[in-house]
Amino acid sequence: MTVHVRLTSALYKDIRADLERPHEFAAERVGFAYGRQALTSSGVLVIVIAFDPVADSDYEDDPSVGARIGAPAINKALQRAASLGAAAFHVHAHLHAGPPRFSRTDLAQLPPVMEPFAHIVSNQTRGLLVFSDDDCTGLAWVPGERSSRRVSAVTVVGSPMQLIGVRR
Amino acid sequence: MMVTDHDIDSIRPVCASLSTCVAGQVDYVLMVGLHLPGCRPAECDALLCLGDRGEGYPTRLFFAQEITPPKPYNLNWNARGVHILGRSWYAYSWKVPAGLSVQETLQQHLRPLQ
Amino acid sequence: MTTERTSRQSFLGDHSDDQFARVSVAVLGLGGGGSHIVQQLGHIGFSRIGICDPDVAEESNLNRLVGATEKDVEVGARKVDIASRMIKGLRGTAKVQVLFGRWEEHANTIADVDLIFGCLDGYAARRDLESFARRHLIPLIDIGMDVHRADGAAPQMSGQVIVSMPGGPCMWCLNYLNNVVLTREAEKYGAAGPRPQVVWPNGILASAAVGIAVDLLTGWTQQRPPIYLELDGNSLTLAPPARLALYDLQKPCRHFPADDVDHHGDPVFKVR
Repeated sequence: MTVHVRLTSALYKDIRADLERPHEFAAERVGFAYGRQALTSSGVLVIVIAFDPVADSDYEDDPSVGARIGAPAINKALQRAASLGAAAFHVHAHLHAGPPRFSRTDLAQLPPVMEPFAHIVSNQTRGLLVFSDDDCTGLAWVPGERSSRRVSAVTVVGSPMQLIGVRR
Repeated sequence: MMVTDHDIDSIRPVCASLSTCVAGQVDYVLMVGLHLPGCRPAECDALLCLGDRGEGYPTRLFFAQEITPPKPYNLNWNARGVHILGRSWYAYSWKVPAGLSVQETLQQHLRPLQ
Repeated sequence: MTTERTSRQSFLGDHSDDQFARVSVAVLGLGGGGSHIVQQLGHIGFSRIGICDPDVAEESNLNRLVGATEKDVEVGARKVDIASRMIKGLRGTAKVQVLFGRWEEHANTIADVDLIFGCLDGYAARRDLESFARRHLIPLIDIGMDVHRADGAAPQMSGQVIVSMPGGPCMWCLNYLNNVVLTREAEKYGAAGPRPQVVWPNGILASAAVGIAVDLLTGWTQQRPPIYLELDGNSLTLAPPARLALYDLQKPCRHFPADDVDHHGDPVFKVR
């Protein structure tokens, strides 16, 4: 089963611009992307149509990690996902060229952040996306499955089109 | 047009389950297993479209397949396999004005099948 | 990476071959327009192509169906198989997904592709395909041609290439689709008869469509590709329609709002 993410180039540009803004103390910025899924013959397609950056004031000062957000930020994201009935993805960026990787800290700390979304919007995929300057890596939890799957492809739809992420 | 609970209750007796969706500013009512007494098949999923999709029909009733009515009636099935909200649908040419209740709209659309 | 085969198209960029290999496309409708498109995609190096059509080759197709032979007509070959043969003859390693039937029957497969070429007949068919493409955030490049006959005057040949890009103007925004044409078509259903079709305007339109697709994938012109080209088949000119200057193409599409979840993905019905 594949998981494919699509978003418009306008939204991609907005997301990248936001994630690259400096923060007072956090080394990385974070946000949540929302969309809807479609079941296809090869798996799941997630169409991302909105992005909410985490507010500056919702970061917690923790120099041991790139960015730490607390319960207020997560609750806001849960409420947004619930009101939209949307798929939700935690999004951040590693500012370098080439395929980004989730750090050990990402893999330990981010899945629990996304776990509550499974209960709030149980019929939509949830996941994690990390962007680099020119690529993207993602993990997704498809409804009904306990284990995550690698996002197989990310398509940025616009002029020009960008085919990023691992291609199946 | 918003499909109210009263609208839903008024047509609930004629099908197994009902759900609604809005797309392109048009309200749709999905009727699973709409009863069609005397027809072949006698039950069929149907999609009631409560707005004009641009073809000049103020409202329209789509079926999951073409229906054979109890009496010979030359139905003009001019929508065949149209893709709406993820499924393929069929509809005969039959104009029912807007402004009627949901129940009246459905009744008028079903007249050729009675 | 450029190879000997693609050495003459290296101007498209260092990564163009990779783009053509990675992108997945679908050609819906393999008649006069779609068969041209398929041939060109094979030549250029597109390697993941879905081809969809419900018909078999007939005698009346031979005036325009690229790749078809008299033998195909004799045996009633499916248009999808003719197209597949053409692609595989040009690129044996291409992954061709043969989708025999109407596109609606293969919607779940088509939802996976990165780009759709729409070569269907009729306004209602285009309306439904565009709605599907927008819901799944897939760019759609539509082509079509027609010939209008008026008493005493020369027939008027026309056609169009329209790019329906999610977030951008749709066919309704561009007034190609409207209530008048859809109503007229619904009233004429079953009485339309065979439509005039010839090979050369299909070639013009298909070439433009493929050229736009290549530009979308490579950005080689460093300009935005055109979104609407109108063919005057009598004077053989292909240009944006004059009325396009009246439209504000930067205005968000109100028919398929880009930021509305309910317009995207599988429809969510509320159980009552």
